[in-house]
Amino acid sequence: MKKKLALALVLSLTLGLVACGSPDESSSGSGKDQASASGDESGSSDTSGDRSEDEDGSSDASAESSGADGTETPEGWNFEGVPLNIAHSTTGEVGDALQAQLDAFSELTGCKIEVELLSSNSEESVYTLEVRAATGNLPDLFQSSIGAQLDKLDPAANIYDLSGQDWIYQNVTSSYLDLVSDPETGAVYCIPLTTSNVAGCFYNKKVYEDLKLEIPLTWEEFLNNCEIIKTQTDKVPVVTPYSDGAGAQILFLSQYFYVHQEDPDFADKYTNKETELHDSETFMRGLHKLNDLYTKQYQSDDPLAVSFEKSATDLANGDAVMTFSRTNILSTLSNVAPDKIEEIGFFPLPDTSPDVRGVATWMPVAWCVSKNIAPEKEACALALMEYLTTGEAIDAYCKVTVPTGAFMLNGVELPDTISSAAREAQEWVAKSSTSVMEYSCNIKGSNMVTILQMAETGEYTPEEAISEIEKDNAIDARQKGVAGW
Amino acid sequence: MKNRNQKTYPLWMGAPGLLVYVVIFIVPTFASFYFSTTIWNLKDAVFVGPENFITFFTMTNTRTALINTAIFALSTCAVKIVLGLLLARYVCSGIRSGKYLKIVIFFPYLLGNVVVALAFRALLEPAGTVNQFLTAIGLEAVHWLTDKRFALLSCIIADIWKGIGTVTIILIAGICAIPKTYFEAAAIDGASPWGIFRRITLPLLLPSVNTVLTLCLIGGLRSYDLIQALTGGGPGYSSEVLGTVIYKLFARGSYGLATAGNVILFVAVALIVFPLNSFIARREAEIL
Repeated sequence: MKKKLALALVLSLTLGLVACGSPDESSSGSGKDQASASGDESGSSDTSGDRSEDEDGSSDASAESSGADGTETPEGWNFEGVPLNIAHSTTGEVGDALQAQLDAFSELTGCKIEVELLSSNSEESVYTLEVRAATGNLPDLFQSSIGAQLDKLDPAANIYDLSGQDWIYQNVTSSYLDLVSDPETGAVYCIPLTTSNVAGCFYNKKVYEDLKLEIPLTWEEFLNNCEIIKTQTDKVPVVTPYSDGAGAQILFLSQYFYVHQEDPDFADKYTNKETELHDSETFMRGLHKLNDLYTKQYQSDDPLAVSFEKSATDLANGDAVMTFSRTNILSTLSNVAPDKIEEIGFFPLPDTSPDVRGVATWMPVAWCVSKNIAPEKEACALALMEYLTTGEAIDAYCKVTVPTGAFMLNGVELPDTISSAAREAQEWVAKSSTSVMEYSCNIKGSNMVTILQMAETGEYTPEEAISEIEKDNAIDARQKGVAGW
Repeated sequence: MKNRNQKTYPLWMGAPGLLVYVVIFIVPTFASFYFSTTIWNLKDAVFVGPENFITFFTMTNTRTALINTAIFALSTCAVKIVLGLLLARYVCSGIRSGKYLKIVIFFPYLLGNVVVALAFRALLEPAGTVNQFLTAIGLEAVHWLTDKRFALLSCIIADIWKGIGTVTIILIAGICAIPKTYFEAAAIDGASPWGIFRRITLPLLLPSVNTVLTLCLIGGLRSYDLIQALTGGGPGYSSEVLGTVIYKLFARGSYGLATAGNVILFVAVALIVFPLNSFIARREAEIL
């Protein structure tokens, strides 16, 4: 008996260890697995206006870019042996593309680049940089969030002012510079690190054709399409990767396009506490849309277990017909179903009017130079910043991965190899778009994702959810010392 | 009374150690008390009095987090000690696989919490090994990590698996330290195994139990990384504990409020652990 018991115990404990060590192939079913295990390569747990880089998975195509205007790399860049410490949090193929750019610069100038990889969780990397900024220990060059998020690093005190560099106005688009400049002093702090992201609905064109569905111009039409899919097929109308922080927020944050259309000053008014979120019916519609998907059972059965990667796979396979995502899903699609990427289409999140439609965008995260950079490294760091805005650097990038959004550099065209969905998304950017609210309003409570997940799974009504979001935001605003809160 | 000059070592020899202790432990502790009463952005701190504490207690997820922290700490502690005691007793019973079992039992402790969390995610996900097993024996699959009823339980199970090794090893050491003669005398007197366990092993093991109880309770109360990696405190707030609340606040840059949360956690740990520790110490003294 004792022997048997000992044997059973040994077996059970050994099995536990084996389970611990075995990479479970089905782990892709959970988004948090992905986020934790793969450094958030494809999922992203955050949409704080700074996540366009780390979700970009991969593509097997390389591409030629047309090159930026005035992007000839200056002759005589010679920084032989100059060491540069660079920190970023970009992984996956986009991370490889950045490395290719840095390698090319290193080869061109002889400088010695040391790369430090920060956490791919944007909140953690921002936190790390904040602490390092507060202790005067920032890397020479580093990746940063932009817009209102940039303020966290106290750019005037910690980031090198690039406004004296002629190339920055030639090479970087003015819309991007607006987000990374101080309007009072004219200081410019950043250049784009990767491509922009566009949010909207990605759909399976083949299923749409089979069911003879039209692109919905209003939310009502969208729900009608969902109903047809639900009743006529066994497919999931809208695959909802709510296990992923970004996946849980995309639809809600995208609604800001319509809020901005209705009141361009909404973000400022909210920041100045002149209005509340629940005062705007348009803002509230974002939550009602989430609620519709839940109450009408158009979303995934266990949405909190659906990962970003699974949503892409299901969409490509036709197991699901639509998903709300950003264009970075195309990189994931090119990984999980490269042969089906052309079967995916894009349309903007619909609202009430067929005449007013558009998309919310996330601008690229940025490269910054530390204000406290050693004088002997300064010229080299500035040369690298200039190089990264040139066509040569973009070519190096595109040789590794196909971009899924705009580089925000003057004269850089997207290569012909990008997918049709990415092209449709870019057409919407040109036609009708706005950056998400987080670029103009830094107030965002620590429980936003959780509250949205609770709204998305029926635990909160839209009214309860907005009340919780407002309470959570008020704490955040107070902690950030926002005036009037 | 001993003359001060007759002491072996002069007092100032303790100064370097004291200095390190003050700089590394005392100063940060008091600094955190101060920063918990401020709105702090790492650069400037504005004194706001008890506002952060009031805010912390009025946050929607704090109440759930406090309850969950208590459930997590007490249940992991209790199960680890009971199971650890049984395992220790069994491993010390002279079985041949004792040495191997000691290694295997201790192995999970060598793994990082995040690694354990990832392994359990793989096991507990909807199509994971556990659900495959459940469906194979005719039971329904369970959403271990995304169902509010099971999320905290999953975290507790993972923490027990991870921590039982340390408890068992400490208790094995405690059992080994009990003189064999007691057991032999009891056996000659015809004591039953249960009687031996209750009247000899358990009382003499109290110092070790006190140690593991203190360690488990403190560990359970401040547990964070495993839960954060396993469920992130979700779904909703169902597996939220104080540690995950504080983490989220730090991550969003609410440093003053997060520090207030840490101070609350510090006080809670002190209020629970110190009285418990002194109670068990008194019981030990009574027995011995």
